[in-house]
Amino acid sequence: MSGSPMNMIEKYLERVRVYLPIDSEDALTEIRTHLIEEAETLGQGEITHGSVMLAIERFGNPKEAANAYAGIGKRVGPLPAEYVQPAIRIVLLLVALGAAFIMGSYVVGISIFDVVGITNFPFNIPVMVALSLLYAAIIIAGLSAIEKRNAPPSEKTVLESFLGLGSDVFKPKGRWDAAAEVVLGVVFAMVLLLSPIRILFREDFLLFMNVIAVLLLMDASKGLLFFIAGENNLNLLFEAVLGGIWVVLCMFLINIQWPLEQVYAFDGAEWVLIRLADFPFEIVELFGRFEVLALLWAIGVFIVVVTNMWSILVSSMKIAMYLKEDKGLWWQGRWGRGRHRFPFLHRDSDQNQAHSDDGTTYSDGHKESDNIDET
Amino acid sequence: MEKSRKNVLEEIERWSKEIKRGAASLAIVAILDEQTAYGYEIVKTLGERASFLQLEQGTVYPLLRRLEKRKLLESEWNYDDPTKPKKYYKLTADGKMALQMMTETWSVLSDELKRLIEGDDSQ
Repeated sequence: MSGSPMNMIEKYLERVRVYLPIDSEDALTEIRTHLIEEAETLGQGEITHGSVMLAIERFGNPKEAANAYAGIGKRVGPLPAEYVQPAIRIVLLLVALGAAFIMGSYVVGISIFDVVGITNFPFNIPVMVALSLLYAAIIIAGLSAIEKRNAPPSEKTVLESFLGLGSDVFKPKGRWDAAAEVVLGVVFAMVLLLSPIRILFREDFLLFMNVIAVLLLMDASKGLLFFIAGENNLNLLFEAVLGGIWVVLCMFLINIQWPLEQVYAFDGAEWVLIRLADFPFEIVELFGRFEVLALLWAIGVFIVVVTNMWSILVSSMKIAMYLKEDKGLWWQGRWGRGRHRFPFLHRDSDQNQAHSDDGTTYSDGHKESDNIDET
Repeated sequence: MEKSRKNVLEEIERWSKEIKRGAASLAIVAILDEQTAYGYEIVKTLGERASFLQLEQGTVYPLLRRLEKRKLLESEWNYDDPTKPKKYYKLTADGKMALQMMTETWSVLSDELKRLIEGDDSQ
């Protein structure tokens, strides 16, 4: 199902995006505006499913439209030329993912030289991801070759769904995502500075709590910059540097023990503080004498390092991309379009369509076959 | 006979594509010499005033991008309507010079071909 007319445009753009280089947000924005205006013209001022479908068909096959933009390029080994861009993107992302995991592992104390083969956690994660993707590519490409059915212009093929992996990574940060960073950064920083919270932690961790609170406030400032000015090199640089500071902080954090010393508990009349060390013996036993807590602490640090390394690498790639376009440090950048993190909250757009065996009929009378040949 | 006609039509189609490819750049530069415009405006103007080009809509944007890369055009985003950001293109000084030279070349080419086709070899 294609959803609302605007959703059909977005889905078509996703198909175009699959075949474009990573630095193609401008091209996609330009095409989006074109499709909206063409659909409005065809629908006499109104965007309908029919007018969007016609606008998309007039614009052409997504792969050809993308290749016209990007240039077909050269064939690389056995890879057909039109699949070079998606392959480059997937390889870049795998390398970045691998680098982030290796750095995370290094910080938590697992050296790459200690690893015989690639069986040790967490090094096996990027390798497993890469192998899974490879198997998936072989299986999906095989299925796609067998499958003769073409998708309508607004629906990705199975192969495109695979080739499009990771294309979301290079979209600019959404404005409301940036706003959420501001709110969460300030709230968490404030929480860390509250006395009733601080007394829960070991005294030698309080200095780190202050540093974490400052970094959270800097995260909030970064969110504010993205909220105001969208994505530009200064904001990306700020994000990369901040990510670096988090990674350095994690190198200290990994050397201290689990910092939470006490927790609040309700004794039936009031909230009281209970020291973890004073927990009944069975519970302590259950936790494996704090070994599990130490492991949890290491996993937490690992996650912070991996996410920040990822942020550093993606920001660096974007900065290089913008520098290549002769953009300076600061400009009024764009925001990504809101991501539907909770798809079940966005079903209302599908209410104006009905599906039957021979296709989907929309409220404006436009009928879309499930088996339209690509134009 | 049918096969021969098909071959001719295919050849005409190829030749026509090549002619249009060169003419499209000139048409776009000429439109932008009159006023700055964004992609959709250029597509519409081409459709109205240069219908002989019969350009597929999707081919105009890559052409604009290439002309911009070659510094014949420069662009600026307009976000007045945030739902439809528009990339406005205008001719650069190099673009104006290129337009002048392209026009002269086109004119010479057109005149000479016309004379050649009509069999006038007085010059």
